[in-house]
Amino acid sequence: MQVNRQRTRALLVGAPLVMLLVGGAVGWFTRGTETGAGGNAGTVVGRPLPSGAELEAAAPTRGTVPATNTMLVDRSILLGHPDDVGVEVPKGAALPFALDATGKLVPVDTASLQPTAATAPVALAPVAPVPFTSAVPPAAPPSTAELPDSTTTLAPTGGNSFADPCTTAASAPCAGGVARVLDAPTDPAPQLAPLSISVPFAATGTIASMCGAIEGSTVADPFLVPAVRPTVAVVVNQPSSIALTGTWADGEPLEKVTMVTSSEFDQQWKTAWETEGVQHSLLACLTLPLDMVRVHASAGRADLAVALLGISSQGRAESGGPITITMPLDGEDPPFVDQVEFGSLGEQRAADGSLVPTVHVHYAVLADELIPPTTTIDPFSAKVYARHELVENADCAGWANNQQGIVRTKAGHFAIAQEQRTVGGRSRPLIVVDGDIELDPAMPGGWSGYACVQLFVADASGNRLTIDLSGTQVRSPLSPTYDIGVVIDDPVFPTGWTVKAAWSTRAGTLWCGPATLDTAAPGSSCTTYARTMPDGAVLTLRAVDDTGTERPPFTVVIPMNTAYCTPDDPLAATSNGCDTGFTERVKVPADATGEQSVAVSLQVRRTAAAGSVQSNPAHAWQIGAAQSFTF
Amino acid sequence: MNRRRGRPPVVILLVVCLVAAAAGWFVVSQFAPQKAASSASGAVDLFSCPMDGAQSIGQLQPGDDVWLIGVSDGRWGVVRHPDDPTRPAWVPLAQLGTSVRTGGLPEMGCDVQPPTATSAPSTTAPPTTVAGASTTSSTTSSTSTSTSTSTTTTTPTDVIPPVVTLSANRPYLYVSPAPKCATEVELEVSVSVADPTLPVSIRSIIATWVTPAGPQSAGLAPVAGNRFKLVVTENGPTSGEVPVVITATAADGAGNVGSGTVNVSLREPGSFGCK
Repeated sequence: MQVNRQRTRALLVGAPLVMLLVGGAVGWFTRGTETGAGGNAGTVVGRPLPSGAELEAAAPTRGTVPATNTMLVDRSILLGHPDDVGVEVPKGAALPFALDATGKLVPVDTASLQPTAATAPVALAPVAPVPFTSAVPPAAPPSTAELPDSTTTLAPTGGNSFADPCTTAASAPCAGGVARVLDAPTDPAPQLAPLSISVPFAATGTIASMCGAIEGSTVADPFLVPAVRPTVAVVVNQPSSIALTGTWADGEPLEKVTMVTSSEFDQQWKTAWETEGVQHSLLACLTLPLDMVRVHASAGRADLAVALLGISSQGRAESGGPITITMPLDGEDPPFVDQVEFGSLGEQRAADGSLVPTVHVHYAVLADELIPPTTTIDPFSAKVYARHELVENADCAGWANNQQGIVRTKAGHFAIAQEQRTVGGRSRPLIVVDGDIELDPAMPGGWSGYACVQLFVADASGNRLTIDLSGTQVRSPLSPTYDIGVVIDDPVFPTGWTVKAAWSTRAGTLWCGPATLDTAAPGSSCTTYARTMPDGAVLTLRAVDDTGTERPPFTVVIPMNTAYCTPDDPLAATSNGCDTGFTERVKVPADATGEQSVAVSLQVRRTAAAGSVQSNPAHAWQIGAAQSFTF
Repeated sequence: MNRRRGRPPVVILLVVCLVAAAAGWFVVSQFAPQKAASSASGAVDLFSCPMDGAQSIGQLQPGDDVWLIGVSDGRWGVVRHPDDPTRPAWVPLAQLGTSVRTGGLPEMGCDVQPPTATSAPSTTAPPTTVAGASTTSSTTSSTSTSTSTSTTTTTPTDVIPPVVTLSANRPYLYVSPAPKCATEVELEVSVSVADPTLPVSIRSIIATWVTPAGPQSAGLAPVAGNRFKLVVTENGPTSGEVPVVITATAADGAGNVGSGTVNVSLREPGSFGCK
């Protein structure tokens, strides 16, 4: 009896506890799956966004595959590129060929020859938004870009799937691309961007020095300094083997040759990728033999149409384009040992992130023959100075002799080195000048003018004498423009509401607007050059309700493609340079759940007119032959 | 007796057990944390714009095709919502397979503070005119006066006046004649006009000052290019110096007019030992 009573008590207490646990377990495994109010069959809504470890598990950061731009050589990610050691020369300043008392190279004011004061950067006025006059923006222009595979017709999958016209209609004008939901999250490791090869360019400046190191003793004419060798260079985004073929301007073919890369840099690239997930760029070079170039050159310049084929462990890629390579001329032209030579650096990234059209200039002069033996200059106090400017509306003679024209330089960046080199059979001291001249960013793409170099000597008494005046005609790279617009496109736009639109850089600086959109003035747009914001332009939209309360901001970063459209270039699609923009109708969330929203149409119009790729490379500076001017 | 006395406890026990199970299920299912984005069945949640208070707004099944319109933080893909294609929905990017180069898609998000700065960066151009672009445009066209050979198309979007900057080669000049300071009776002023809409032109340049006799003015004579010369031969100060404002106006290719000034001093030669 005692035993039975004890069992009964245990049962009375234990059974409900067990059932409580069973019920709890069932509740645990079925939690959150039956709150589908408002959703379609099988749809779950209302669950909060995960955070912390749960967010990392559900939505790991995977990174994005960058868009390819074969026309941009970003020296900041080029493995082995030296840090800048030169000095910044403001617009209008002169560069002395001697260090000051503190051992520094200090630019001087051209008039007073005293150290220049700090100058404010070129500041441009903000852009005013242009209002749209219609409630619905015009349709985006047809894109000439290569259609992605994703635009092919896809049949909707079964079950609970849907039929979005963008995924089912081949001709739907949709921006973006199709994606398929996976069974499980993919590896969050960063994805390697596919192999891409830049357009070929003639190696100048630091790139020429790097090519000299990469090619080493295998170079065809080792007696030439790297700066004056006829070297073709390309930049690739992963270790690869690159074959180069070409056709000279006279029609003669250039047989296939393999470009030279650095195994050391290849190893550094692999280490950086495996340990940091950073995909650097690599330089590949090929110096052509002088004897080969000479027979196709005129006045030391030879035009070559280059075709490139690269193969890496990840795949293959093609590139190509026309380049002009230079070779040193025979004979002497004192005080120059290396003639003044200008080279295209395309557009280079500035400290503020923008791309600035940049020309490279190189020359070497005999240090012991610079000051002419005249009676007007005191040789004991004389110093040699150089001015390097981009000039508009005048040639170099007009600029230097008559103060004509307008200087369109943003700034220069120069390094001066002293070398001892054998010239005419004896060892002579040289001053070697390498520098970049940047174009005023306000200038439009395709700006034309002169790149000028003036060497002059001045003594302590104020006497001056020009000792050389050289230059060449230049035309800057063409640059696409972006017109970024937004218009209210909501048939049930709430009465009394407005939408605030502001256009800014990724750094947060406002460059256009803000504009207030309402039913009376439903849209606005702002225009800029792609090169001013290569990392993207930010459009911030914020709904304001009828009480004046600002709703959460919604931001769209519009990617900027700085490549230029060359429709006659079969490889233009590689950089998608002919992309003409997009229109996207999107509901801007006006609360955290997105239940309240206002519908707007984003319109991005990209303009990049056609260039003639064979004779007029739109992505590079067009540089004429260097010439001397009277002074 | 035992059977009759034992039935009620059994029934009560069953009822208590059922109540306990129901209570356990209810408490756990209602108050336990919600499930993660991906459910055990492989379904993937769609979320509203990632910010405080964001919620799931739908679900996708493996194999569903969606249209990717953007990305966010390298963590999310932004897709057109299945039930409402104009509504953006955020899906874990790692849960999507696509051949689209996601780095070329717009980034969409809600957690970025709007810009507060009011000045344009040095990198910002008001590119209402683009050389070489839109050569087939039907809008007003004009050929640049620069050495450029490309066609310049002017769109009606430039409402910004040109930035006119003046600089003088000296902060003062003497009323002419000033025999002992003859080199300083002439002032050279350079005018810089910055505007992307070419052609730009200088419309006027004038110097103004005030003497006891009233307001005075003098025009500047062009020297070359953008340089002008000022020489004052009369109506100068009787002694000492007076401030002179030199004002230049310029227009851009869109007809916007801007102006700039530079301040110098006009000196009476005798007061400075120049006679």
